Amino acid sequence: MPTTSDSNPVAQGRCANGAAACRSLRRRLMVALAAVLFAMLVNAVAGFALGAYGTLSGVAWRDFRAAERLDCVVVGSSYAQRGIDPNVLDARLGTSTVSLATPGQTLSDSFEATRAAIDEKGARRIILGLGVESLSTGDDVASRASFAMARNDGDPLGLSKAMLRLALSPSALGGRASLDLLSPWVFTPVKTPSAIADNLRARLTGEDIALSAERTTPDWRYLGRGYGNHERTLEADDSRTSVGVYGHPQARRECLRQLRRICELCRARNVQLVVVATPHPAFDLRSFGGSYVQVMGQAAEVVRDSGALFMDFNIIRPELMSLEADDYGDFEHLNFGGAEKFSTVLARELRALDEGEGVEADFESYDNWDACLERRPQV
Amino acid sequence: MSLYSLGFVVFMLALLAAYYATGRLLGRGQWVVLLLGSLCYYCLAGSWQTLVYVLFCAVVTWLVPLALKHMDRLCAAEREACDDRAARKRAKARWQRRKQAVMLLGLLMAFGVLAQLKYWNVILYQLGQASSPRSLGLLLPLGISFYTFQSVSYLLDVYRGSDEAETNFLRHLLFVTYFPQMIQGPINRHAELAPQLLAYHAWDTQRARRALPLIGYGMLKKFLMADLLVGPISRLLDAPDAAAMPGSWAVLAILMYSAQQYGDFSGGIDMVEGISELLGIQMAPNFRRPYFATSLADFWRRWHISLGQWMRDYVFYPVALTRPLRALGKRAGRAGEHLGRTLPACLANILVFLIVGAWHGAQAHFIVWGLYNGLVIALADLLKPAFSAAAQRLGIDSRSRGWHVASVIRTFLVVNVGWYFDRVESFSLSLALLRSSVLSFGAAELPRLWSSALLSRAEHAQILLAVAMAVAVFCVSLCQERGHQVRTRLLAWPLPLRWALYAFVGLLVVATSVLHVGGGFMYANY
Repeated sequence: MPTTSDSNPVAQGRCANGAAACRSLRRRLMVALAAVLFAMLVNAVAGFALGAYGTLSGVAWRDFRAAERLDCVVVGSSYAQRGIDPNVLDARLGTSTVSLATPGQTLSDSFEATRAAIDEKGARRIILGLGVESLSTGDDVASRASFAMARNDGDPLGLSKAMLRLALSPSALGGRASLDLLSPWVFTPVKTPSAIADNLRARLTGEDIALSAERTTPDWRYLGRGYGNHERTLEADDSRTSVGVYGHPQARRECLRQLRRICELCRARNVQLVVVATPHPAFDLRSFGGSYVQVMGQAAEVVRDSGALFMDFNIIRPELMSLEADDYGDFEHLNFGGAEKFSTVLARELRALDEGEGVEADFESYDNWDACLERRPQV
Repeated sequence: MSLYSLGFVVFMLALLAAYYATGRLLGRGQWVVLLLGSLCYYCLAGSWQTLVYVLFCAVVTWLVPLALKHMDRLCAAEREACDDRAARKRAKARWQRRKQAVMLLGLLMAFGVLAQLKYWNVILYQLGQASSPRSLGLLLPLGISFYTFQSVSYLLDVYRGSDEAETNFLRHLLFVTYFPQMIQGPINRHAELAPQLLAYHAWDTQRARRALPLIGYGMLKKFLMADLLVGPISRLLDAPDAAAMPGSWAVLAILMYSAQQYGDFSGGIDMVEGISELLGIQMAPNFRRPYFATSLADFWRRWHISLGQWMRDYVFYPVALTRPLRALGKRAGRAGEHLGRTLPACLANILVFLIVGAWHGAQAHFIVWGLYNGLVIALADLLKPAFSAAAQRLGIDSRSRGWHVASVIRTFLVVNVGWYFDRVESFSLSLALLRSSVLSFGAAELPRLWSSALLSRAEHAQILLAVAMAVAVFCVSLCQERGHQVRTRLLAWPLPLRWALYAFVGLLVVATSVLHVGGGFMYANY
């Protein structure tokens, strides 16, 4: 049936223009979509080749996921990651422990790890290993990205959500890292041509990620239960100290708030939280001056107010633990030998707690800090 | 908020959406969106507390031109009421003096803030009233030099009668705070920028397609060249025993600095020009392949062009045309016509470069650097007839390609000698390094630098990547210097090839994050 538009050339022209505009807009949208997909493909290929297959965080979370149930989970940054050997704890206590401690792990990520340990593995004890730097550094986007990638391995939607949340966080949003989070592989890269070739081979053959991590991380050896360490010993001419490298610390309010969250989560779920300050060489502790006691004192207060346990192994009675220079890998971390010794002592303290004995008498007070330092082996 | 950040991407997307939607729906008022966006950007990228300095500068440079115009009207009225020519002349002179006083007051207030923040601590330190040149902790707000220079140019243009006074404060505020220029320029002129800021702009896909490669190119220069060289340069020039290093190492460090400065500054300018193009606004050009200059004067007409033009129009010409200098020129003219013509210009040039040097900082090495540039240009001008005569006697065809290439290389060397004083903070060290570069070059020592512990393996990779990028920049610049429209040609490539290039560029920019180098722009807080 003839319509008005059939006979009206102006209206016909308008219809034709509108249709052309629609087609043009559709074409532009298709091109834009294709461009985005292409960029994503390139990014995925780059990530496949250049993103490390085996990472320390990846190994820890792999071991965590592999366990059906866990009695205890260790969380925290490299102080815990290199200082607490879950194999020693299990051998001494007859428990099942995995270390989810990862390099540079922030306290907000320790909270996530704690929650995962309780919800997914029914852990009854959480050991949070920390040092002054855990309480005084701001959000490190790189370590948070590594943590998120390992946590969400095999869950692309979860990873996308975690990366977006991180990219929009105040610490990342205005900086370069916020865009780098669209390409998470930049946070765990392999850099040399041979490393890239090894990486590709490991991915294509499905190699054990711990083996791959040993290859990509210099001097690092995997021992099991999420734990590995560096084959290093503190060198006599290494004059670095925490203060020299990181500057004078001050406890950040946000860090204390995250610490409180961990304490309250454990209290709410009736899970024993043991917060442990791992040992440092005496020369490193001296470099802090008064700020060590100031920062750790605040942490101890937060932990004890929440009903959790705080044990600073830098003020343990010297007859109970004595670490020498060759127990340290560097100015702030233990090596294999040192971690074994320290974990043995830690296991003893945990056993005493399990048997209902108090452990307060094994530790001195921050009020006697200077005297404590004098009585330690002078490393 | 960095230009390369999700925050900035979100900001730009929101701004572009609001900007073009406002234009489409209302047909006007886009400038209000731009003003709000600019203020928002300043608070995010700088800090809202330093907004007070921008507002102060905007208020002063808005009120003073209005006052000058008002005084013009009063002057005209008074002159009309005069009976005779002499009385009118006297009235005009009287109002001119008043205008001058108001104008000078405005300049004092605008520059006073910049000077106080930049130099007060240094002055106190020199007088023994401060423990160090930075003890007062006076930080320069984002873009203070650039918006000060820009607003002062408007004030002076109105004073001279070459521009009209803006009666709407918010429009003037937009001119002062237009965000792409806030980081490190360019210094735009009111007559060229303001009409664009206030005009209606419709979304233009073709314009956006042209802007994106410019932004990408800027990112490559900044992240894949400039940022990669910061560490190696510092290792060499800031080392405690830098004075003892072989001359070849110093030369390498200065050449790297040459690339770093260019990459950082021009890369940043490319990015902000591309961002401004997305809004349909063309800013003043600021770089024109400076390392292809054939003389030092030509170099400064190609490097930081907007500052050079500012200095030319508001310092050089006013100074060169002052009575004392013109009188000096007349007296010198008795010794030779060329001398009489060029001497005032030479002295004005020296002053301009002293100011530019001082603007970089109150330290001695910047003043020396400025003096060096001013003196070289002055001498080149003064000796031009002698050089031309010598070239003629030697049978050199100054229009030949060979001479052109030789001039470019000569200028590059002259510029790099200047960088010794710009980059090295200690004047005595810069002299020592210059001396060793010439007298103890030690080419055989260069391989030793590569194998020494001074540079890490990562820094070796950084240098190689930066060199590769520098070669690429050279090729692009050469094409542009020969008149090829590189962007136009790129946009004519088949779509898959263009996408492959964009993906490669994006990958390179992202991959530089792996190296954990770089930071903000060098001139951001000048």
